[in-house]
Amino acid sequence: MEGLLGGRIYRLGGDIELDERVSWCPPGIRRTQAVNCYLIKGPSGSVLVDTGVRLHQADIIEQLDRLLSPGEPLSIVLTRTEMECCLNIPAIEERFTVGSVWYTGGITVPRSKAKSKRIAVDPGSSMRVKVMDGVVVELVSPLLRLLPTLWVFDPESGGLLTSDAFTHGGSAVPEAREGLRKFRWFSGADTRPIARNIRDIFRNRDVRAVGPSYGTPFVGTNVCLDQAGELARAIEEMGIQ
Amino acid sequence: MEELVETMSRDLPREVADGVTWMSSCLPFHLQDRVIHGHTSTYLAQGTESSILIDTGNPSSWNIISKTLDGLLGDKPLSYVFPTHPELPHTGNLPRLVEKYPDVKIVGDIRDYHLFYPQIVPNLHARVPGDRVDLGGGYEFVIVEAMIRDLPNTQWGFVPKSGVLFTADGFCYMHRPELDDEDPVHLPGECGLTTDELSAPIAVENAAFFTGSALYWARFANDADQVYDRVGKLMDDLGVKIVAPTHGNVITNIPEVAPIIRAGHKHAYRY
Ligand SMILES: [Zn+2]
Ligand SMILES: [Zn+2]
Repeated sequence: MEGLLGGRIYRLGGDIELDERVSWCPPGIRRTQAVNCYLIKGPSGSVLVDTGVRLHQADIIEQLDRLLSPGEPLSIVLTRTEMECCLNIPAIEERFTVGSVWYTGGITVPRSKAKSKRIAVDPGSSMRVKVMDGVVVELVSPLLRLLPTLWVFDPESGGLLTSDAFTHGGSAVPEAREGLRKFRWFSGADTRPIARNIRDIFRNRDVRAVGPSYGTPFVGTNVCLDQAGELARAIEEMGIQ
Repeated sequence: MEELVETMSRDLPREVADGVTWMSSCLPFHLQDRVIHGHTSTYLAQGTESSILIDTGNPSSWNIISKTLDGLLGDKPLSYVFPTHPELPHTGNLPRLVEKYPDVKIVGDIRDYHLFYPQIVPNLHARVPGDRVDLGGGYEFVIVEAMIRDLPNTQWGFVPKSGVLFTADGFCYMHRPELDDEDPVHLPGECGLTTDELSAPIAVENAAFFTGSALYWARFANDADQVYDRVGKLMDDLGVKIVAPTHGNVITNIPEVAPIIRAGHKHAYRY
């Protein structure tokens, strides 16, 4: 568990073995990889962005126990409704009182009492939402996606939580293309608008840290800008034009 | 923003081919001027000895799926589950299926499942396209490469004896909901019908609606003709008579429906 940005955003989760049993593993790679979810601490409650893999469930509950004060209001925002984002909701709801679960896309997520907040943000645009008092985030709907995806930008800290993008951090020589295994469809597509969208997202915001769902985060304004440029280039190279 | 509630059609489950039963729950989508439905289907293929469940349905539909399986299997346990790919509507009930049938074998491309469901690791058995599962009495289930998919670890399946191809997120489209009895103005609902029973052909926009959101890449890749030519060849080679998608009515008149699905896919490009 790590403070990412001055005590405002914490990284939760654990490591997995990245090998041939993992669908997003580049060929020939064998190492550990972090799988993350993030807690945004507000003045009067916290927002958990994604809930991690089931393999790390006990660790994540324990990490939340340490970060949340008793009775602290908690809401959940999902970047996607995929398995590494939503499967720990029931266990978290059992331990903490979850006010609402925000998500996008056409499928339901498992939850019990928490209010369901289904939101649609057009790909290529963004929407500001007040998840709770003191936590207003911008939900960015990127063109870089396989399934319905939201990136979560916290203007107060400059943290951009990028879900299944920017996942190449943590390898010996981080290469942007390593994180694009999931997006094999790029090789049959005109990817220029997708790359342009990445550049725009970073140009229009003061991004001070990038927190992906897998891999280690990138911290520092210049580091983030460099990584965005490299990812955009890798996306262009992969596509047809 | 609305609450989502799933319902099972009153016409299901039904046997759609020799040894293949269709169950499904519908999810309503509230568009500006109308409501449309999306299926989340689960199929049971049975031979004389064994059975295989194709996709698991959503966790919210577990009670009805569990009860339906009791009726279909009698006192036999379920032998196999084939989740086409790890998304909730396709795999969400795996832990409960293992609890209910502790010896069940989960077969398919099982990459990532150990992270998502560590509690079912002993039940996981990797299979690749071409692998066959014997169900007894001449019934078998064959793993097939998924030619239309989102997640990379997606597979399709085929039951040769009855010619049914299970296409996961391929060949999917929205349909009209069932009606209240008080509302005789509209056409009857379509939830439990096969495509040759529909009163009108599938609307291209209902196919595009699904493709554009679930198969997002179709918006950027202008390759529908290539993709569907390959699928057509696969279907000829296998001798496919029926297409069973997870999110659409069972397709019994493939020559009429395939061009509509292809048109919907093209329509999704840059929409
Ligand atoms: Zn699906
Ligand atoms: Zn329906």
